[in-house]
Amino acid sequence: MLRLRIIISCLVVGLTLNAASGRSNWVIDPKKTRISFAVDATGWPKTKGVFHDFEGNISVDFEKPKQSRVMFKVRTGSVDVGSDLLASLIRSSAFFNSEQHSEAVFVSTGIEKTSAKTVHITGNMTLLGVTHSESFDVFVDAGLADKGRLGYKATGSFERSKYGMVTGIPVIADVVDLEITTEQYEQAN
Amino acid sequence: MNKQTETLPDQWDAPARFLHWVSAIWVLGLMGLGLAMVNLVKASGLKFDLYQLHKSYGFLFGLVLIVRLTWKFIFHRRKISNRGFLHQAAIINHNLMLLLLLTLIASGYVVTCFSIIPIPIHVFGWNVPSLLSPDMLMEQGAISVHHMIAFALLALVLVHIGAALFHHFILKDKTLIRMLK
Ligand code: HEM
Ligand code: HEM
Repeated sequence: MLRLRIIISCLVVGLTLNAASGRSNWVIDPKKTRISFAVDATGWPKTKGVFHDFEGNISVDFEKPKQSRVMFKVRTGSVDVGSDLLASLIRSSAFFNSEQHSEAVFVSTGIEKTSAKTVHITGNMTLLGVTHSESFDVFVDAGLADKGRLGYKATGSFERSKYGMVTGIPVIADVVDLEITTEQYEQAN
Repeated sequence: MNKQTETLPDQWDAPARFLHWVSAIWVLGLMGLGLAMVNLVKASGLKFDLYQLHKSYGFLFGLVLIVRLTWKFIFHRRKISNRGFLHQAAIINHNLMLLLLLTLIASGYVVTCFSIIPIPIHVFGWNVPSLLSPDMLMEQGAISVHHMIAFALLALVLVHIGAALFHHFILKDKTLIRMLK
């Protein structure tokens, strides 16, 4: 009986502590997540692609949104552009060099609320082993809150040359547009 | 039966007929593929696949063309009696088409070599080596050359097909038949 009391009180303390910090952890639902990119080229339609293999989570602090954190990890070898031949070119050392650098990672360093439904995320992106600061505009889909889910859409762009990916420039554009739409569910601690 | 046809010297031999029809289908295919992939297809992935297909089959056709030219000009030199202006024109057209095919394949290869994006021509798992170093301006130039030769060839081929049909349906002679059997 005493044991149970202790357990319960621990739980209560734990929960209140959690509520006090306002922090909760969310994991992305891969089925409701799409990580896509688009690149322009001269005399060629925009090449649009998605990644099939990724993971990510966010740790949200509802009271101090600035202290929320976002992490995304993408396996570059899982790129899909609607052509196996083109995908293998993109995986090759001319672009992603997926054999040596299998992952691209984004870890947030700062989050700023820009309006009721939008935030601006800055973070470190690592591609081809090179890390630079990039930022994304994020639109938060509040409609999902009822379902206990967090939904948002992040858009941004970066210059691939900064990461040493220079093949085809300027015929293939330096700037790569990114768009991530995702839904996340709360992780049970 | 038309007298003139009977006095025509010889039949095309079987290899010449075979090579003619194989390359006719091949060339019309590459032509359609080339026009479609450049002008019609808007999806990057499919367009890319078609470009690679065009390059592979274009290069492979080079081998067919070498066999054909070897047969025509080395092993099977037909003696042609001069049968007038139109016949001369037909022969000139034949030789011009063969010449344009050679330069078309060469220019296609040159386009690939000058490209600053390293995408080799694939033939049966073999990557055709590039003999030139990447150069954007030269690539543009080579594309224009390939484009112009392709359209010139298309014009000659249309005249050629028109003439063959004219022989068959209007003149009702054996010109088309003797290329068939
Ligand atoms: C008999 C052989 C060939 C024919 C009939 C042919 C025909 C064509 C045609 C009609 C086009 C479209 C031109 C336009 O609309 O601008 C084209 C484009 C092209 N061909 Fe060929 N081609 C042949 C061989 C080759 C070969 C051997 C290669 C390379 C190995 C090649 C590479 C290309 C490329 C890269 C383009 C695209 C140029 C662009 O980006 O606009 N072709 N070809
Ligand atoms: C489906 C369309 C075609 C038809 C109906 C056709 C018909 C013919 C005929 C009837 C001849 C024999 C002419 C004669 O006896 O004087 C011939 C010869 C010839 N054709 Fe075609 N042709 C076609 C497509 C092509 C194409 C696309 C090319 C180019 C690649 C071509 C290249 C030649 C050449 C070079 C000859 C001379 C014979 C030789 O060198 O083997 N033809 N064609």
